Amino acid sequence: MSFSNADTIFALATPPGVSAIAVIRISGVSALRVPHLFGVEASVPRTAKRVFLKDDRGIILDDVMLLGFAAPASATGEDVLEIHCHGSVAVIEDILGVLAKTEGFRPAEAGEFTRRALDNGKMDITAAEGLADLIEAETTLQRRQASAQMTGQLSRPVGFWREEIARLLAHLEALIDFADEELPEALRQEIEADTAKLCAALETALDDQRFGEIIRNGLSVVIAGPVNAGKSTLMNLLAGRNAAIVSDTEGTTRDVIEVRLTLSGIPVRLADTAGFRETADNIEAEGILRAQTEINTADLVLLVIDGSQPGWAETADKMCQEFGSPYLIIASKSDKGLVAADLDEDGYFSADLTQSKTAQKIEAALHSYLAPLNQANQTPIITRARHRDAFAAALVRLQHSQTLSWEGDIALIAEDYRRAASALGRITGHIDVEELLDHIFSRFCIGK
Amino acid sequence: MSQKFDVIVIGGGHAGTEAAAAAARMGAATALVTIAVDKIGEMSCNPAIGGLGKGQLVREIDALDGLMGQAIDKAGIQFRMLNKSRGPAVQGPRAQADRKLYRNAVQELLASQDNLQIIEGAVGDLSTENGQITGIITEDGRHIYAPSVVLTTGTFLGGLIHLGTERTPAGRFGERPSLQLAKRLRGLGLPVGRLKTGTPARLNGRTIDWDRLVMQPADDILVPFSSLTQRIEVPQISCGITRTNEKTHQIISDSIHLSAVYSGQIEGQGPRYCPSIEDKIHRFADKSSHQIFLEPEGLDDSTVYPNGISTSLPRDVQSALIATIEGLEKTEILQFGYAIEYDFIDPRALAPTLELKALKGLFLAGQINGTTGYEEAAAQGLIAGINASLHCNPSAKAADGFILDRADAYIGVMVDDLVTKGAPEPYRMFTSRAEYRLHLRADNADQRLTDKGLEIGCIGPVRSRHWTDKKTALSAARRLLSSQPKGPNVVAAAGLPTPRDGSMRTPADLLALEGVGLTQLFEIWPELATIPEPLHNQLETDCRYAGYLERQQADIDAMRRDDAVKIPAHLNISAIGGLSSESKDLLARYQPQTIGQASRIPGMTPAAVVALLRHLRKISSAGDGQPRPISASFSL
Repeated sequence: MSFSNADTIFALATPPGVSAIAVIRISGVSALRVPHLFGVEASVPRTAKRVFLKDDRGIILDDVMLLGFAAPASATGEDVLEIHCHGSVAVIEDILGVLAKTEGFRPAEAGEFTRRALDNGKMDITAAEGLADLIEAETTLQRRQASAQMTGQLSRPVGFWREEIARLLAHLEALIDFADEELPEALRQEIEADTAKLCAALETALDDQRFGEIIRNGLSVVIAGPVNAGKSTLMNLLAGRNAAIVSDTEGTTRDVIEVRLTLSGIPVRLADTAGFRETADNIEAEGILRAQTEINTADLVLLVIDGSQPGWAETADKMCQEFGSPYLIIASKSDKGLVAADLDEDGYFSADLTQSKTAQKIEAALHSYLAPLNQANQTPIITRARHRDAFAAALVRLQHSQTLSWEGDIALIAEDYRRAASALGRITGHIDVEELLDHIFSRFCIGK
Repeated sequence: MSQKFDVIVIGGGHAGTEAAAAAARMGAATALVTIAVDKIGEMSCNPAIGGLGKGQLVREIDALDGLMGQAIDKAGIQFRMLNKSRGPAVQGPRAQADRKLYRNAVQELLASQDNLQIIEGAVGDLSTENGQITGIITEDGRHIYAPSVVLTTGTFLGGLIHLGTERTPAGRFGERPSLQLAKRLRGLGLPVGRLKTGTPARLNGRTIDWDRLVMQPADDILVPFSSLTQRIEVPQISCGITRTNEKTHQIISDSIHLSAVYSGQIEGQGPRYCPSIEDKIHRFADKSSHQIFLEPEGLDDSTVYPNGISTSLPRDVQSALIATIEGLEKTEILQFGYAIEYDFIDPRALAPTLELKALKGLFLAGQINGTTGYEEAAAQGLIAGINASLHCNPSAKAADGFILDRADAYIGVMVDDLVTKGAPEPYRMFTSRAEYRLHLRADNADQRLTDKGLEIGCIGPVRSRHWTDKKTALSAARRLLSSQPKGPNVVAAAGLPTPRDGSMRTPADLLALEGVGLTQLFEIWPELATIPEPLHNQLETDCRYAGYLERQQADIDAMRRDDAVKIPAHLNISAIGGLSSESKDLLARYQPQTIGQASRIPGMTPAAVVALLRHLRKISSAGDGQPRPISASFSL
């Protein structure tokens, strides 16, 4: 890697390909000099200007709009220029070509605009993560969540929690370091009460059925079942009906095939797994093992079983007992007869996978499972496993502190708060002792 | 006339005496140069040693065979263990001192020290050659040579006393300051700043109405500071407690504009944790009363130090306000309180050995580095003295000097804080400054440090023998504690808490449980009775904290990895990619020497540290001999 902030970086900010308008973004010390490279004399900061860009022979490249931002009032904190040109591959290539051969300019590395913004204090890490998610957002819900995070949905409550932990820890440290001073008598009760409130807030935030992460990463739905039950048929049926397939990755390294699609506005990663059966084949055994892992970490398992075989319900029940995840049972091949009677029970379907309306039926079931997530009126606070781990660790420490006796060793209570503070600090920046001392000296009259 | 030494120490306060004694213990021919020989070991302010965080420092000084612990054990007239009920990690021994006994004890210890000569004189100049110190010149023209000089000027460097609107140049009350040296240091281009501190009036104890006051006695069991002290033999006294009242506050509010601090006369920053009484009343107006401890300054000295009312108000106001306080209505004032401003050198100009980066061989310790407190000064003196002696001995083993880190000692925490963050206000130790507080305890200072001291040679023969014996006893005890596991039935039969997991437990496992003490285990394991009683507390604490300490070890390892990644001295900061201008400013201003230090700079973002690491990795893979960074304890 050879990053240098001395360089002015540029990149196409809109998706490649033909479009009505494309935006090229340029950031760095020479960004506002760019119009001159195209034979345009224009002072661009804080204006939107329509100009004609020309190549080095004076031939007009395109009719564009320039948007200029002078540092530090820009997205990256540096001078920034946006060229809104026509979305023609040739025009874009020509403009980028001119920039690339100009000294001091280079194409941006992945994420470099964001990194510069972060370095220049334009956003905190959680906001930067929100921005990255916004760029990658595939669905409306994802976009809504990402923009909420960018505008501080995460950093606001987390900032408040951090402030609370710092304050509580400062009070505890005051009880230790200034034990011979006259501290308020109710300090301990205050710490206990506020800790309980903070724990409740963290618990609420954590108790969100991982909705934020599901939206961000997609709901993992795994199709499982014995061989030849119709798993792949189901997969194709669901995938084929949905125009919103974003990508499908062939399982080259593992025997799991994954398709991404959108159901009820929620991205779903639909995975087809190797069928269960006793096997002596090592490779196939490995595939089955992987399928097991997939199943146990899934948000939802669709168990497909041949409904025309007598005793299928018992087999299915037996299999489901092994699952560590919620499941729906789909009795397939209903066109071939049998399929048991107790279909009205929750979680059982009969399905003729040769009929396209079967897909509708299953989707409706999936929808009813997903709908509660979609209707959540509050945007979730936690959208990443990294955040969840930190909050959970902080909560565990705070809860542990509540089990310790104040009559005994309060250094151990403080130790729990210190660990809680450092866990939250991993998201929000660490809590320095000077910050604690500020709290202490501004609240208590300390010193002789 | 001229003389030659290995190490010259300037100043006979708490930093100077430790520095001189340490250098001499290390075998360096040492001179202690001080303005007044009879004032060596003087306590300028509050006559007490130890306290929270500070008591730990004294134990650490003692573990490295320093003077302070031994001296206070011979001079302490009220021993108290602070935070007795708050857990072993945060307990701090403290003792009120008899000022004269303390001074005598320090002077006796120095007199019995080989390799040490004491010279009376005021130092006026430093001699240098090619960016290396070569010696000192006294104001009366004597030239004394040495390749290492330790400067411990306390509040004497450009000292200025404020009393009301009066201003008097002085180092302590009635003692002249070092003005010529102050000018010389400013001339060296060192970053010099001003700090201030204050002291209360001194009272005549015979005129205090003690009968009306609440008295605070010494502890029943007197715990010495030094591990060499068998028992405390000094008689113990009680301190009185009284309070300010609304009348006191009224007088102060009416005259606050006359205080040197509030009239804008003082430019130096004072400590927030040691406010003057006018500060307290101004900032906490809703508090109607403040506590005052009346601390006798000696057994046969009637002077009393009223702890809690330091002030720079004019004399008549001081008299009036003291007369409003219960028990002090008719009290005679022996010396008025004052504020003192003095020069300090921004300690970011120092390496962690306390040597100036810009002038080889010149070491600074104590208040000159922006700290406050005897213990903080003494601890720095010790480190500076050891390193000054290593500096003039090129064959010494510790080529990079003797550096303790944040997981070794409070001393390490303090030195790292100073050289990394500077001293925006006078620096005092608190236990909250120590990340690894459960490990850095007053009770285990010798286990943490004495072997390190032996390695570099700063431990004398007496302590060396004493420590070897203790170490043997400790390891024998540890062996006993971790062997002979017993089942739950045996444990339950002895009436001890028995977790219902059916597993076998060693004595150490049981000691980890709340409320279990070593003596309770004798019934099951009679051989434990052979463990010497003085070791009990410490072993119990080790077992109780074992789980926490294990977890902390991972953090310590990460910190040490980051501290091991050196930042080259002449790093081109502008060449570091992905760094904001704020972060570049911080790096330029603080000049961290390691990634660990960089990460501890206030305001340094994790992202900036990662950018710095990435840059170091880049230049190290370019093959310039830089160690390859292993990790940073950050993740984005």
